[in-house]
Amino acid sequence: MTKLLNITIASVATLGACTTLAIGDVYGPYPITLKNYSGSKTNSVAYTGQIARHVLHDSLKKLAAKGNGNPNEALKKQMLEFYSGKTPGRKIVAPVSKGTFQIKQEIVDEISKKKNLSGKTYKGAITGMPNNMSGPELIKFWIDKASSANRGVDKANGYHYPQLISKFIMGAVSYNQAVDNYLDEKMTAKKKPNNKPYKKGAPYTGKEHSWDEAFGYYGTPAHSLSLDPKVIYAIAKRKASALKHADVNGDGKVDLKREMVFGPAYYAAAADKTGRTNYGRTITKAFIDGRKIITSANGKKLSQEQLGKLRKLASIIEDNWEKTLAEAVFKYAGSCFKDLKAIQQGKLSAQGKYLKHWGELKGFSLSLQVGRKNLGATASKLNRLIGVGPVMANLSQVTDIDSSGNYVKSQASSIGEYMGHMLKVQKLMLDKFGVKARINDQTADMSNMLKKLGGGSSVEND
Amino acid sequence: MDLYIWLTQTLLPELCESFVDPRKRVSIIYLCTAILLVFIWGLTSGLSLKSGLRAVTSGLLSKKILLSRSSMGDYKLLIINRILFSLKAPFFLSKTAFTAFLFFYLNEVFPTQNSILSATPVIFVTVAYTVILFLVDDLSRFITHYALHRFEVLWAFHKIHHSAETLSPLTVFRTHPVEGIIFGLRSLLAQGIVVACFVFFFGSQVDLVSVLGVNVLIFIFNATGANLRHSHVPISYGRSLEIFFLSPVQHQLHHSKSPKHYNCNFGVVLAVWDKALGTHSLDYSQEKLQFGLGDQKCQYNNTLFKMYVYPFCEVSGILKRRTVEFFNKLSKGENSAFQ
Repeated sequence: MTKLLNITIASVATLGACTTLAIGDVYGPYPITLKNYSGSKTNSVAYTGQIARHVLHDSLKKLAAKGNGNPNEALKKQMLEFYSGKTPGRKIVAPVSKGTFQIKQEIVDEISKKKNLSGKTYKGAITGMPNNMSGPELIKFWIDKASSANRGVDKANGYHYPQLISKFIMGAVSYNQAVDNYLDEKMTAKKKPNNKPYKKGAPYTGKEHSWDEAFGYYGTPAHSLSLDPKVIYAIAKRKASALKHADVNGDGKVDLKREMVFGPAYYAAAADKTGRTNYGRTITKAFIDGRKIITSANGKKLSQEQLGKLRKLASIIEDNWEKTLAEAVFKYAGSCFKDLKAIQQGKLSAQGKYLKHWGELKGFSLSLQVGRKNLGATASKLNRLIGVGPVMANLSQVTDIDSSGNYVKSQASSIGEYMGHMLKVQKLMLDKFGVKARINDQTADMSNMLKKLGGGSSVEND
Repeated sequence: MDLYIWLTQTLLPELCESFVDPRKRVSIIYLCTAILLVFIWGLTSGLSLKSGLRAVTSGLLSKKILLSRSSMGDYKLLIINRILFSLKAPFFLSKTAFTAFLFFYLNEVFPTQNSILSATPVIFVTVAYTVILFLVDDLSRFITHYALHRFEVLWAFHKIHHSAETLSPLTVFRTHPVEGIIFGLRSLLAQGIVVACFVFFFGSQVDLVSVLGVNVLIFIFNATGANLRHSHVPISYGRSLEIFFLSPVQHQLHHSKSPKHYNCNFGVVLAVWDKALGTHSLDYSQEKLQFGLGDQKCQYNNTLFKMYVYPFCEVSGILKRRTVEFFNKLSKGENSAFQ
């Protein structure tokens, strides 16, 4: 009887929360299906831990740009609190309210307590950087460097730490946890079964929560299926015009737990804005469809057929998420190409943009390599083309890191050659991942020129 | 229903496109300038308005020409070729894919030269691109045309074009589909090479000096009587200019059925290629030229089926003959070795 009441309340809550949306378009609330649950909760959806980690990531990125060029232990300590600490009362540094775009939460604990990023960072060796550092070691190395860099940028060696840290965490935490843990290992029959609570006393089953956590790492609003990619993009940018689209419950504030856009969903929207891809919608729909399958099991063990369907949906999510990262690599390789061209033409003001774009390129390229699949030769080629550091205007390039953590540099042959590498990176993304949005496509220039010439299929004599 | 949509949304727009797109030689703009040129030519020859009009009506817009059996063959080929080519055969290599391939190949071969000329002033790059594209395009057309005459197998297909006994601007469409494929490959190679090299060395998109979106040099060529190459109006530029540029009458000479005019003036705009190969000819007098295949046997009779199929029969005959000749030579060689 209690169970029936719970289902009814949850259904009414769903209807109330999304009056303008069709039922099923929103990720939750979903009823409690766990047998013998005796608590007072009516909604089995929970992914606040993942949202807290997105907030820790955003805040860490912001802090990484606060240095003044001198060693700063206090800043380093603060950054580490957001990366590996669990200290209560951490004030959110980003995202915060901006004009009329008001954000509901001000403290990380208001979302979820005792969360950090280090515990969820990919532990394998990062082959795209020297010394076989593990994911957490690399991030801590960058945090150390960022604390003593001016606004997070090392102009001598070419590193933009806020971008490197941010883009790598998007892969090493969010992408890795979602596709290599929750949608992979935890979607097997043995692990986190659906007829048992995820943990003792929890209002959700093992499978329900595993799926929810993966969804949380994607970082999209629960109602994002009703939103245009341009709107999703604007929400992430905290544009005043986007408030009405984000604030689905109409309380005048954006609830970070259910209404905000974070990194992975933002980059999917960036590609989808071109109209040539539909990554965000495909991923969100697959998450919702999967959650419906789990809910429909009504607290029973999932059948092989149901598990099979979930694995298919997980594969769709993984494939589209991977493509989103590949699109970002493609885009920033194109940005670097343009910046290098400007530098080659003597416009040294392009250097700032170049370092920022290179940081994004390197961070995303490393992110792409920490998924479930081993990219093998593609990863080796990608790392070789991008290198350990960017080729600078004076042709110097970091090629190694010594045992004391100092950069070792050597001389690159030319900027033109490195520009060629950027083009090869774009081609690699095209050949291996079939990117379609192709933002900043440098070969598009040729296509435009050929279009202008015309004369393709004419059968004319001279 | 699908057929109706294809007819109205694909075939008809594509057919009309040839006559409105300024990149096409038979665009209405160039047809109008051709009429104007013929009128002025007639006017200056006969010194009267009547003679100007007569030149237009007899040399260009005559019923005898436009409704002749030969011209009817041109129209049939135009329509059927357009249908065939609008189906976009999957074996056609994409121009963009080929250009991208070349571009990346250049990156492999000259890794340090990428964008090496990117600091070159834009005006210089634009002019260089316009001129080089024009030169490469004109040279590649010359080479292709020369090969179509030089090689027996290719001539079997190009003969269809030369079987025209009356010439009108639409005779450019009197083309066998195999030739169409050859022309497509030529365009792919010429444009692909130039575009890939420019983007590689100059680092980004390069613009053309253009009029109405057309290379200014091609525009000048088309606007100054390119359509009269296939006409009965013997306009000459004068011998001193014809050493550099091929005039309409020089191309008409190329179409002459008289054996003394065979294999001359293969070029399109520039005469320099013919000069270099010794095929340049100014050998025209006041004699009225007759067009067609002359003493060569013409079996097509402007019948569509025959125009499409006979070249294949001819090629098969050539191949058979060549095979027999090859084995004959081989056996003779063996016999002489035993002697």
